[in-house]
Amino acid sequence: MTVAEREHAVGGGRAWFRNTLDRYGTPLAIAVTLFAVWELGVRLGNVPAYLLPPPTAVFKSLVHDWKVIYLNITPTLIAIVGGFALSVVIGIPLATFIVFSRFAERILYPPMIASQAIPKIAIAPLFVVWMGFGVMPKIWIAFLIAFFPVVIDTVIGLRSVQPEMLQLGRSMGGGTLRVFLKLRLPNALPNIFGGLKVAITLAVVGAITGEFVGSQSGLGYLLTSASGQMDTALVFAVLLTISIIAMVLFMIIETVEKLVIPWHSSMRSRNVGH
Amino acid sequence: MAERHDWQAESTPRARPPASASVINVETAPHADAADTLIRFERVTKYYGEGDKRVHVVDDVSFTARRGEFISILGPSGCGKSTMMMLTSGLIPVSSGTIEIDGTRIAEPYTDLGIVFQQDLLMDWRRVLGNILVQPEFRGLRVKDYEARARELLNLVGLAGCEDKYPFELSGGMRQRVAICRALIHNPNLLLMDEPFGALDALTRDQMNLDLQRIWYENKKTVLFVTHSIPEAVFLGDRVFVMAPAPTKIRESIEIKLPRPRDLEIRESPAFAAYIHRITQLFYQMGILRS
Repeated sequence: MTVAEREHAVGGGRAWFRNTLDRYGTPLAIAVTLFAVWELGVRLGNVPAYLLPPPTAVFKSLVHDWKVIYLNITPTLIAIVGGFALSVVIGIPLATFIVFSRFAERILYPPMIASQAIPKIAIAPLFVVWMGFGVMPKIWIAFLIAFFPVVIDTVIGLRSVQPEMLQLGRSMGGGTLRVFLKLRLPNALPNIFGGLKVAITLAVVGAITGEFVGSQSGLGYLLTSASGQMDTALVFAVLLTISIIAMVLFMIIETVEKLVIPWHSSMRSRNVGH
Repeated sequence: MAERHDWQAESTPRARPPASASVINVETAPHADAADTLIRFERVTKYYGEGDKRVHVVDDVSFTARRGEFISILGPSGCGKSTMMMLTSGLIPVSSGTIEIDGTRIAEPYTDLGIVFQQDLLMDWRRVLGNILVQPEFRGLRVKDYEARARELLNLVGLAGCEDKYPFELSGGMRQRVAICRALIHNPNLLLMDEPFGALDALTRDQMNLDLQRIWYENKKTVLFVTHSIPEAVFLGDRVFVMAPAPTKIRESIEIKLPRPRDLEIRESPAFAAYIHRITQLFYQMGILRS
């Protein structure tokens, strides 16, 4: 039991404060130190703002341009969530095919690996040619980069069920479908969530990449136009926004994970270091 | 599930094969008439693989098991005991010979049985009650009807009040008790146990032996119990099949005439020691033990 937990057991607001400090104190301190070093370095070294603006300038830009940033969040968010959703809806069935059929595995793996090796920025213009300037090409680029970890991790999860477990399922009279839904799939959930967490951050990268090409809105578009105007402070403000979006989305997946697989050891042994 | 039951209903008990006294390895208990017999192995042989890679695992095994009999199958690790379990359950097919349970020839997974493996195979994502009720659920039965019995069984194995715990909250012995409840919930005729206590510590194992004897006594199941512990085999069994190494066959079938219910002290009795001695001698003869 840590000090904070012991205090928490006693109860009271002070305990809550200690607990919160215990949890968020260190990352906060690191962030503050980082910004302080950055600020000092830029000021003492007389670095021009178009090369590297000090954090104060970035925050100023964040406040000053909040409206243009805010307006561009929605299209990017749609592209991220859309691409992520597609990678789940397509990735998990794809993994199921691969697990059940050696033939599917042989056919599907080469194009999947190729799709990962090709730089997305190189094919983004193609997608624009095929799908126009709307949100669709961004969604598909986000999908293209995000589905891979979903497939790989789901395959590992579905394959990692013990053979005796499958025998047990069959001896209980379970058919293939029932054994899949009630044994293989729940057994694979911890791996699937691992894949989803990687996928959501990759979907952010994909959506921004998609917006670099043939786009009139979104954070990726804002990023290119700001750097085109040498507004480096705004570039950093947008990057900060993108990071925050990624963190929030990641935390949402983690929360869902905690609700869905509270029984898994990764959810139970979080305080090993304490 | 429905088809499976139809299949069982359709296959009428065929005429018994001629008395198999001439076949080696056969042990015909004096009181084993047809109605009394639950399991019949008839010259069962099993190979894995084909051609050059063919491995002979089970060699010409024949025996009958009475209803309610507790049979310990005792042999060294990797001798093919587990394969005999899998053959009995119909999860893997025989290479030659026949297995009948309750007059039905086993040709596909036979489901009127409960299996307990060495690993408890509990589903981490289900609570204790859900882990037991997975049995009727998989069989497509009305789960609600089995809840009361599940609680009863938990009570029987001393786990009352653990219904809503997750498996990770239980000790190894408790988990294996839950697995036993799962194997009994649908009230099967036959219980297959494949080294169920092999992963437990010695004290827990003794307790589980006592509990299993009681559960068996109260439920009147036929049990095939695979183990590589000589005392455990003798303590639990009505008969002990001493198995030869792979390809396995029944080297000797030993009737254990110790009174029931047996308590742990019986292990210090001369009669018990005599059984242990006899089986140990057999293992020496087979070269499994060397002095």
